Amino acid sequence: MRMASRSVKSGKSGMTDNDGMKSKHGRTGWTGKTVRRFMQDDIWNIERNESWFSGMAERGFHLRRIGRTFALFEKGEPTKTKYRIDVINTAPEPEQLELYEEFGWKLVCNIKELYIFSSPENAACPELHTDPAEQSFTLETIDRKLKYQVIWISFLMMIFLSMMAALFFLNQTPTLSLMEVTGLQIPILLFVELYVSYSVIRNYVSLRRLKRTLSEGRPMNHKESWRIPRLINGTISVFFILTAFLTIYLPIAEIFQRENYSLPEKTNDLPVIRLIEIEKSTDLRRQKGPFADGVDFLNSVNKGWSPLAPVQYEINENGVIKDLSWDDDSGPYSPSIETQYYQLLMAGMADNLIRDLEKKFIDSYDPEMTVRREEAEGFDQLIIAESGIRKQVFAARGKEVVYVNYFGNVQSQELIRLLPQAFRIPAAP
Amino acid sequence: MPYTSGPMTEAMFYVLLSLSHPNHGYQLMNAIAQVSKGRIQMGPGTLYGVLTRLQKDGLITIVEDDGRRKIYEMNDVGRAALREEYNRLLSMVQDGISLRGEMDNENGK
Repeated sequence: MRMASRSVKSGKSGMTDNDGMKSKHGRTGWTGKTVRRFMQDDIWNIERNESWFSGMAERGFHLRRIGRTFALFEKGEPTKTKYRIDVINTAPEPEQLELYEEFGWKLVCNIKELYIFSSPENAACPELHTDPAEQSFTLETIDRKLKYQVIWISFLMMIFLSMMAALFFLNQTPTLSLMEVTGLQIPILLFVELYVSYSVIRNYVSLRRLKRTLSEGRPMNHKESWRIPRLINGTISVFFILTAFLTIYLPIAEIFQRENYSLPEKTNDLPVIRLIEIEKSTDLRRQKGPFADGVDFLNSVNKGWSPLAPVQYEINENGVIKDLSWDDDSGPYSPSIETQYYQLLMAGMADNLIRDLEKKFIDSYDPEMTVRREEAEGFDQLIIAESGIRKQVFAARGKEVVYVNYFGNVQSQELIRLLPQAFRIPAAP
Repeated sequence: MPYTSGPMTEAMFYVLLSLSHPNHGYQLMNAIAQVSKGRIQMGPGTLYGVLTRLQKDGLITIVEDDGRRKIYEMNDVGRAALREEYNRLLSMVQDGISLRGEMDNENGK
């Protein structure tokens, strides 16, 4: 009870306190806790911002300072306060602000040419602006400025977009690029930049609309509802801010996910077909390659990561059977196998990825190349490309895509029989 | 350079009219209320908006500035512009007079 009566009392005095606050003299007189609020809405949506400030004051948050991204409020007693945003193109003289104050409008703060005044809701002071047509002239300078901004940003976006379009259409394997972090960053950045230009244009449209309303003699709506538009605009901008941060975070995440090591003898947990399984010879030995950072270049496991393909492997194995020669007597028989494994975020991307892998790895200039598509149980897609001792297999099952590149004498049918070893997710029964 | 920006806003017309004598901000507000017989209670934002524009267009001059207070007055360009606007408004009213009988009849119905 006591609390309640106290708050009513200070509620009354709170109003005069706030009005007496000399906010133009900086922080002096700020007694309450300050809170920051994300601007969310376009700064040039004057009507909505005015009514937002009033709404905040009604909940006890009094505007103290405003910036492009944040507005600073001081916690105090709830008051009914009117706010007016006035565009003053030449910095006002003290005389002008005194006159405003004389007529009940106190300066709260300003950002560049935007001056924000407040007055208690019930004060019988005249409106700050009584002639809408005349008020529309105050927006002329800023209108011109924003117009140039819009022209510039549209121009830059056009250049940027045509560059992106060229990159996209010249890229033969777009899905494959998206499987890499750097390939994914570009479209995300494009998305963010499109939003930035959209918000610049939206801001300009807000101003244009207001200017037209005023020049037609219709006064501003100081009580325009702000809740829903702020929520929508705020959600959109938060989404894009997070997306922008994501593009910075992605390469870092990739570094932490990346692994590179020599191929172990036993690889039960890796999606790979081992040479020994294919060749079935006890004489098969590993053919050691050059070492880089302690990793056998010819027998290596590269684990990768990207948002669209969270599990990626590239596994190389090279073997040799000393007592056996290649059929053309070109030296000891040395089969090799490379396995690329992708576990995709969505199974829907598998078809496009297979197409890109085919485009990238099948040598279309090889006259001996034969490519056939097979219907095989347990696979959504199975493509075999053969040219002499080289056998390439492209297979998809659910979210998984596998590419096998084998050089050796064993027939492709044997590779297909062993193919389930290169998948990690068990096939659906 | 004569004023060529077309019809004046009501606010502009009255500020200019009230500046036929040197005046400063606060007095101007009262002068406007007086000259419009209380019909116009101009907001301070509008007043300074008009003053800025009139200065930019060269229709008024600052006759005194002691650093604390500025006193404005209409100059010859402003006087000419005001006279032209007055004539325009007058001819508008005269053109409208022909409607008077009609409008009275309608009101009488």
